[in-house]
Amino acid sequence: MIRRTVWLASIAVLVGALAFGGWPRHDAPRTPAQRVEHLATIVRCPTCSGVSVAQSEAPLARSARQEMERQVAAGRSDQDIEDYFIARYGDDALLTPRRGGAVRVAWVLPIGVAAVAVGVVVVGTRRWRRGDPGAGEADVADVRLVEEALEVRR
Amino acid sequence: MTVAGAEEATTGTSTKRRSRARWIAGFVLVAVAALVVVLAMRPAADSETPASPLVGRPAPEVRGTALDGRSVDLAAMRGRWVVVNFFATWGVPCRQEHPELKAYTEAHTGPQSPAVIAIAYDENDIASARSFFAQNGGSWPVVPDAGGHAAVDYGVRGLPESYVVDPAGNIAAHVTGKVTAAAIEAITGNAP
Repeated sequence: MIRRTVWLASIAVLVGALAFGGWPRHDAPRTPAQRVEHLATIVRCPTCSGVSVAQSEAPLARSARQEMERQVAAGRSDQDIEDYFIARYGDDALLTPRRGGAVRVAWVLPIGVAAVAVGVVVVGTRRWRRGDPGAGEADVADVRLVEEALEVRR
Repeated sequence: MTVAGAEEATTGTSTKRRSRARWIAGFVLVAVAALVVVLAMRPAADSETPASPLVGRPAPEVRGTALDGRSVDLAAMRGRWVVVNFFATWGVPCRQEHPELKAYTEAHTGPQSPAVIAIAYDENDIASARSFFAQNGGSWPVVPDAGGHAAVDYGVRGLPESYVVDPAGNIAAHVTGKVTAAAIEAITGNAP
């Protein structure tokens, strides 16, 4: 009973942690400079491959950063600014895809499959270690053998 | 236990197991299929020339004073095809496409004819752009892009890039790299 509770608690913690990881967070930095820095680290450099605006010295990366500064100063939210870049550069405008919609499914689905697989292995292992309760019962062949033996004795 | 009873019990257990195995197999199959569909529907992150999401949408604003002092306002050019061309004179393809844009503008000179607006992306390149046009010709307005705002607003990834804006003010096509007069004519429906 205790072992079962431990297993269930472990699975619950695992699923909870992964679901939390896949859920959108709204921990925006406070100052305008911090906000621009944060945005520059998540928006992909328009002209480079696989680096952020913050990591690039390319002219278009500098322009993107200036655009972030301009929009932050204009009072637009981080979400609005991310949407602005996605509307112009597509879904891959952000280095890390947004945690929503299809991306959330892509996070949660393998977790669900893994949890079920772990559950199947755990249950199977427990049964195997306890011994199959069906193993001690007589099967059809056993019963038939006994009945035939009794017939012979009569 | 009778033979019939044992048979029933054994059959019941194996049917239950088979049913459970089918459920698990079905769940795993559906999960894997859903994952494949989700991943297959995502565009490749590093595709060489990703399609601009702005195609089919209203063209961002282009407004300013050209190098020759003309006022330029894309919104005021509704009813005409307009090619918004981002360039810098230090780019070889930008220099190579210049004769093509010149041929295109020379073929369309009427007041409602298709037009070209060039956007000089690099603020440090303005003097060069001025002398380049003086040397190579070209009657279309060249608007400096302060801080690269227009380039980012159009989702430019490299130079040159051109956006063909239809008479309703929507982006009909996005051309990356060197553009040709024939390509523009094909987009605007004036191909011979």
